[in-house]
Amino acid sequence: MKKKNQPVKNVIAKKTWKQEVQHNWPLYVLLLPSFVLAIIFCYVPMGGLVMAFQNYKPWLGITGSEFVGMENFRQIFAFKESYQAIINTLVIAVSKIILGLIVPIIMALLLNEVKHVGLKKGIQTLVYLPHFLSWVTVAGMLRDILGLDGIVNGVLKSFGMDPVFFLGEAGMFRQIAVISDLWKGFGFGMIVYLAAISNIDQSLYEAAEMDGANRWQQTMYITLPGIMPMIIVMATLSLGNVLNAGFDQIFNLYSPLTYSTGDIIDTYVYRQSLVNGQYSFGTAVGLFKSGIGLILTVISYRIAYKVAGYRIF
Amino acid sequence: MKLKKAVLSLVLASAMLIGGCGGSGKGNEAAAGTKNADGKYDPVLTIKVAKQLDENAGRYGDGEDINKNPMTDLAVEKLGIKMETTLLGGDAPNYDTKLRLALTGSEELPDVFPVYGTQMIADMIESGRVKDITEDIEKYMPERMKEIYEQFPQTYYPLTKDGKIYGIACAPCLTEGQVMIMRQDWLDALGLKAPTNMDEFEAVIKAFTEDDPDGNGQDDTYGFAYSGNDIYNTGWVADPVSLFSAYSGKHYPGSWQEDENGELMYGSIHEGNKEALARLAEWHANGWIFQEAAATGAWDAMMQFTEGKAGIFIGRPWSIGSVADVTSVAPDAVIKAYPNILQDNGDPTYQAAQINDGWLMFNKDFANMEAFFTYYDWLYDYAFGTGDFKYGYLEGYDYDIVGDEVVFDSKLFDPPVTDPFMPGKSTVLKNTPALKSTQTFADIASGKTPETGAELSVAAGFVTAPEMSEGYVVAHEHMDELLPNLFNTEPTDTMKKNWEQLQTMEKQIYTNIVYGKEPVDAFDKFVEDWLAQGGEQITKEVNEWYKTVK
Repeated sequence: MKKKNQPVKNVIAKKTWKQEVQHNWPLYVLLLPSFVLAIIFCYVPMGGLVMAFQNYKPWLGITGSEFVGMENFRQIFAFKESYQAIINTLVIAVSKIILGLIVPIIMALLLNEVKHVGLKKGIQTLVYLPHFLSWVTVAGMLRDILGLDGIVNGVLKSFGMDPVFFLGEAGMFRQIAVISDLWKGFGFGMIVYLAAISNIDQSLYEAAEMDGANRWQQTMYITLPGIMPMIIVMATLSLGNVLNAGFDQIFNLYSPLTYSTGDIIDTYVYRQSLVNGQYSFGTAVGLFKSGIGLILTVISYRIAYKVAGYRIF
Repeated sequence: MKLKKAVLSLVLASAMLIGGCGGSGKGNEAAAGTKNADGKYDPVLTIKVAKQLDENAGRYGDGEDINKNPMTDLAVEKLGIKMETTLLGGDAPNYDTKLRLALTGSEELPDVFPVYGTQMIADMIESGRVKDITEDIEKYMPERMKEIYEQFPQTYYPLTKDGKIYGIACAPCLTEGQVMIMRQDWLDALGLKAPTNMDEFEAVIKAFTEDDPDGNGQDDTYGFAYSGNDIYNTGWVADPVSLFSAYSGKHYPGSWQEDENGELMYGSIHEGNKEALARLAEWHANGWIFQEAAATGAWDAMMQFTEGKAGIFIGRPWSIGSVADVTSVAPDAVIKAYPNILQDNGDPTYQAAQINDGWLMFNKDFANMEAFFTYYDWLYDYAFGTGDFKYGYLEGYDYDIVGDEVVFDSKLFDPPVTDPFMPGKSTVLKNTPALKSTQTFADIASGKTPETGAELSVAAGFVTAPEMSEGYVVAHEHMDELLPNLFNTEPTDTMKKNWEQLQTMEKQIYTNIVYGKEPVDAFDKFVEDWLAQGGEQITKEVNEWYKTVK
């Protein structure tokens, strides 16, 4: 009796990994190319990170170059200018992240209330368009708009005020950078949230209306909670950018007058590398930025999981 | 089962695709070519070269490209040498990256390649992949070229290590300096004369701003356009450098020159520049100079002149051609080049000299230095007015003979051509070698009958673009005001670490003073900081190097 049960148990037990592969191998083969590509293009190049700890010389290669330990990282923090650049990066990037999160949500909620379909689609398209412009173009436009002969100064002058050289004012640079980035980017986030809103079960709204909830209450208690998972995903993903203040944008807008508030890590390293071929230093900065980004992403993901019970993976 | 078969064939197909991009074999022909009785290489000898693309090289004809065009064909025909470009870079950073990749072995290092930076030269030498050509220069460089190179010994400084020479400068020649380019019609309208010193300069820019030089009754003009978004020494157009030199003499910003003790000193920290900054700050506050200079690059700053807003800029003579469009906003505009202002004591103001655009280096395994010099000397035929190239390189491209007249403007060709292929810019060099950039202009201006191709070309220029040609004549009279940067080798150790930070500091303080964001006395603090944060050490290292070449 006792022995008879034994085989039955085995059959019920989960298939082993081997059996699973044997059974579904075509699917695994289909997965293989992307797996291999990911290894080749994403993981193998990471070996190059060794350069951050070397004094890398192209002709000696990774295997032959001299190891210098943390020297390159020390160089990042060696100068007053580097600290200034790190602070600027943090301030600009964090402002961009926060506003880049809140504004699209508000705009999506507002646009969701627009009942005229044509108007809604029109606005959606219009605010999404700048997303496709290159920063070189947008920076050119900003120079014209904010220039001394630009439209903004035209308005100021017509009120009898003195013209302001906006792009030369250190005190205004961060605001200009953040707002122009927001203008360029919020359309994209908005579309994501609009998509999330359209996925909310309509019967919830009907039920709420039956219970006498007004639009505001519906928004607060149905729409917002409904898109919360999406908000958390976007927030978590964007936190990885906390040291990316946007090279393209800053590089096209800043000048020596605005170095003090506008020079970010990326632009500083760019100028630094003009002295030439500083592969190791560049790698060290990249690794430093990725490291901080990774830590913040992991932490925020943990928090999101604990607080909102949301998992991406 | 069907699915499994399909998947299998898919995998196989993609495996073949990936496998297809394998490495190609390496063929190294180190054997030297031989010349036949006519002095031609037979069989045809191939020299592999690198090239940074030049946007002014014109258009290729149908079916032509960098390796198959009239100029490469001619070299095969005349010399039996095939110049084959195996490494091609777009802009400067792209080209540098490709050269560095060639050092890692993932791209082939060509036989002959131009290098555009002293750090790159140092890397090349350190890598041991480039050829020591000390003896080849002695043996194969033609006499007439040796004479040229002997005039510019400093071009060898960065190329020399432990007494060995690892390359040559690209066609060294003292390039013309910048001149002061003015709106003559504005000067005339206000009854003014071109300024010759700082005070007169101030009077003119004040008048250009406040006295309505274009006579349209609007306050829409100002005096001087310059660029202030980098160090205050652009070296080509929209340069404020002579205003600084008016107070600091040889020690204008961004240059290493000897002080009274014969030691090299970095110009930007010279106290004379403080006075210049004070002056600029005053002018800026008065609106007499370009108000957006700090956020504008040199080319865009010069455009202020083209737009009819600014009345003066400092630039190389060719830039007169670039701003000629000013007549589209001001039909009566007259552009005229003047010498730069003088120092108050009557000495001239100085600016940076450019002697060569890059250097040529050679692959260690390259065995045909003689062939290379044959080709290089052949390119020089135009400059000397000898051999194959009397009027230019190729009839119908850089010159044409219409009737019995030689013409250089492609619009006057028979038939007229727009944007023709430019042979002189298509070679391993960026430009046609020249002997004396401005002497020809002076000769023609003083009435010499043009004979050589270079002279005919210049004479034609006096007809098609007289203002520009006059500009070259002015530049020619002031060639002795051009000072080569005496620090001319790879960055020193401390420079590699601290230089950018010092430059950031310099750009910030200069611009902040001009814009009145910081008092003029902040300059003293800057000099102190500059020395303390690595500048002193760098100066020491620079002078240690200088002693080895002096």
